[in-house]
Amino acid sequence: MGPRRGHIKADLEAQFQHFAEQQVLALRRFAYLLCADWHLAEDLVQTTLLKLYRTWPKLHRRGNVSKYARKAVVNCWLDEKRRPWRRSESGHGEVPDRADPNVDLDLAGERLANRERVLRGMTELAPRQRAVLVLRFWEDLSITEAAEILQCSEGNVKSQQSRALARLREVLDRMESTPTLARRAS
Amino acid sequence: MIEDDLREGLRSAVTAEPPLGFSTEELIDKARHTARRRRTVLGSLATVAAVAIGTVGAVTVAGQSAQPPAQLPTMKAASTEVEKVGESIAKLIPRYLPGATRTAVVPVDNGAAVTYQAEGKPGVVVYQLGECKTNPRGPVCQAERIQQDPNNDDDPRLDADSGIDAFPFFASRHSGSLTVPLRLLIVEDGAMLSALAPTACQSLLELCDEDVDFIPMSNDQTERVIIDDDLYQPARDDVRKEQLERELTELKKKQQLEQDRQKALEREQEITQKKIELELLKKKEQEERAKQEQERSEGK
Repeated sequence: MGPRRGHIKADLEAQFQHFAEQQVLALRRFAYLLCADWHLAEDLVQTTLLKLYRTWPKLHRRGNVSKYARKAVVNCWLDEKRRPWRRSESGHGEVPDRADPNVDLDLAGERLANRERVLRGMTELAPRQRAVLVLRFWEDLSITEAAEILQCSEGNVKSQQSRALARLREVLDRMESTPTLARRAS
Repeated sequence: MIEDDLREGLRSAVTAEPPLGFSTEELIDKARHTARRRRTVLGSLATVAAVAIGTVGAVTVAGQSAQPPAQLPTMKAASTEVEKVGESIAKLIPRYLPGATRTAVVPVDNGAAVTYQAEGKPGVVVYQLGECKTNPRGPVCQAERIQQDPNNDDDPRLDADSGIDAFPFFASRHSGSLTVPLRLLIVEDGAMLSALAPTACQSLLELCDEDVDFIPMSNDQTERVIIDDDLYQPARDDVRKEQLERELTELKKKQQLEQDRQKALEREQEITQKKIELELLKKKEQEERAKQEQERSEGK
């Protein structure tokens, strides 16, 4: 039998703390890209870390904790989306807009617009499709690794990715055409 | 390329990151506190099982005497139906899990948990009664997913007195696309029964408790318990009996119809025969009359 829960050895706890401090921001960014809400992302990360703490000795023995942590974040996120009382998403995530005098304004504007488009487009995808895109294009994971985290087949990841990209393209095209029409109307 | 836009968009989306709203020290303190609370409950697992034997009297294990219900007085007694099924499952566990030396039934919500010990470690099968849906293939009808809020520490189901906190790993048994085959719904005596096996520890480490090395029944073992003839033959017999009764009623109706049809045919034949006979008689009469008239005219 392993060490008693709640009394994990001091060295293991120190290792967990080190891991948490190292990974907390990366995990929160990952969670944010899934849910497009910094507050919810923080909640997801806290829940994930609490779960990891409970099983830390086993996880530590097994290794590859970072990947498992991402798997746990995805699971927490999907659980959150399944809850009937979950907060509904507006589809217009808060996009921080801070002036930076040191950057090229045109380039910054273009990046900002792209960021807004992508974030808003992502919110129109199904949760698992969004998770696939984040794992593949943010975490740069292979199809096999993404399938492992999402606990599905590689074929499923491929089809989800394909559908997600098609849907995203469709949404982005629609978003691009809307202002043009508005301009024409004005 | 949309892929490039996507990469760029994702990268820029996290550039304006707000400061972290919690510290890892606080988080560890909270985790430690929660774990301590759960550990306290887990420590009373054996007591809960013993109390269940004494209070509910649901399980009879050879050579074991029930303990008096010294603690947990608020524990609800299991219903007769729950007891009955729990007793059957408890008796079956040692058959399919060699080394399981002790079993008990602990009432949980509207079901119960059958606990056992194997190699000195605890194990559990949880079941609940529900609505019955008959599947023509057999008593196993459908899988069910139940979601419980893992963040809600105030959930009364996690109260120590209920005993459910002893098995926190089955609070959430669906994660992502993976449905852990923990809960199967089965029919027994016309009621739906769902049995739960603690295989979560094998599939989802995050659901397990570090200090309890459960010996879960394998899926195969669980299935064998669930479809065990001793437990479900009565249900199968009932289904078969109902089916036979239905078939018999149908056959009787058909037989009645067939009998009616046969009688009608016989009557029709009789009528036809009598008609023919009548016609012959009439014809004969006419012939005789004609003959008499002829004789009369010849006599004149």
